[in-house]
Amino acid sequence: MDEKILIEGIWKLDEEALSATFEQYAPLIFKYALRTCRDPLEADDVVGEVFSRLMNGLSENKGPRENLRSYLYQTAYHILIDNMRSAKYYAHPDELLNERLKQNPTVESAEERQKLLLIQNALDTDLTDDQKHVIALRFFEGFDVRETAEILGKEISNVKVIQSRAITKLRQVLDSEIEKEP
Amino acid sequence: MDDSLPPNQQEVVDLLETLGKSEVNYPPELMAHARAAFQYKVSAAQAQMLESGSAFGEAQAAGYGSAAAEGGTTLFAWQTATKVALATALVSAIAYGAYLLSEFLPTLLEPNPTVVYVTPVEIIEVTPEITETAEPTATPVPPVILEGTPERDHPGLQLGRTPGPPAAPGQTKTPKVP
Repeated sequence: MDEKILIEGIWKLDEEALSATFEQYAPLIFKYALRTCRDPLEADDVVGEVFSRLMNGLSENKGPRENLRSYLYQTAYHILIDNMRSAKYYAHPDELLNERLKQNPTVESAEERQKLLLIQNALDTDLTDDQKHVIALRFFEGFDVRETAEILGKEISNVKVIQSRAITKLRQVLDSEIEKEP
Repeated sequence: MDDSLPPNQQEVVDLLETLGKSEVNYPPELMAHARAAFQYKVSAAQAQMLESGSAFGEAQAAGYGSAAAEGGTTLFAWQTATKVALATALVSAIAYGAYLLSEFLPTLLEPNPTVVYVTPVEIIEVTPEITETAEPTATPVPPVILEGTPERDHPGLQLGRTPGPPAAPGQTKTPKVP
């Protein structure tokens, strides 16, 4: 369903529009949250909180006006940041990633799989929180720089710098591991 | 995604995009719970809209978009009235609570009073009795008045004749130095 129609519908508390919004965005918000906390139950809590805040926002006339997707991700980002500040989250390692990569048909070689595992590990351990969110929003969720800046509440130039540093860091991790190999 | 990236960084971006496609999906049972909770909230909001008697959704929709607000005004007025009523009730409750506290707090803060049981005292009626009789030991003597007054050398001129106070034991009189 078109996002503008969705927005009009949810302001009218139209059940179909609200249901469509949930079905469309809940799985995406879940993945985004899961990348940060690595705990499905915590990610599920974040999804519940995002849609709860959506309803509260509608009742207080502070709901989404233009970009529903950005609005929902921004809400999720704020919840994740709050939870990280309260030390609620511990980034659990993604132990099942290797299995999922083996089942992913787009990953053709063991070498590529190894690189993906390295990247994932570096995302979890070597990047700052800001860098993680920028990478997730830009390359996993497909937001452009302007939308990413809007969600994170940062300047566009700031997002570009964060992104550049994150990619440089990931590149360094890859290069150092490649050099270690005989 | 970003054409301005150098080739070695483009590889990282490609890897990230591949990684993004390997994420875990929302487990159906968790999503079902979340959906049910969301639907409950939607129902509650719709019930609130019906109770308010105003077209909640229409008013909010009027607030959305360019043709803002005639319908929204009704909703905002209702919301404002509700908030004012709630605030008034809250202030009244706080004031009443403060009054009760000021009245009863000192009593509540007192330590538990000690109960002292006093046995009632038996009242004994006592009749005063005379046990001793005092008798006079001396008869008052009237003052003796001598007849006549001794003459003085210079009546009315008694300067230097008034006797001084007696000297304290061991004290010697120091002669005045002219």
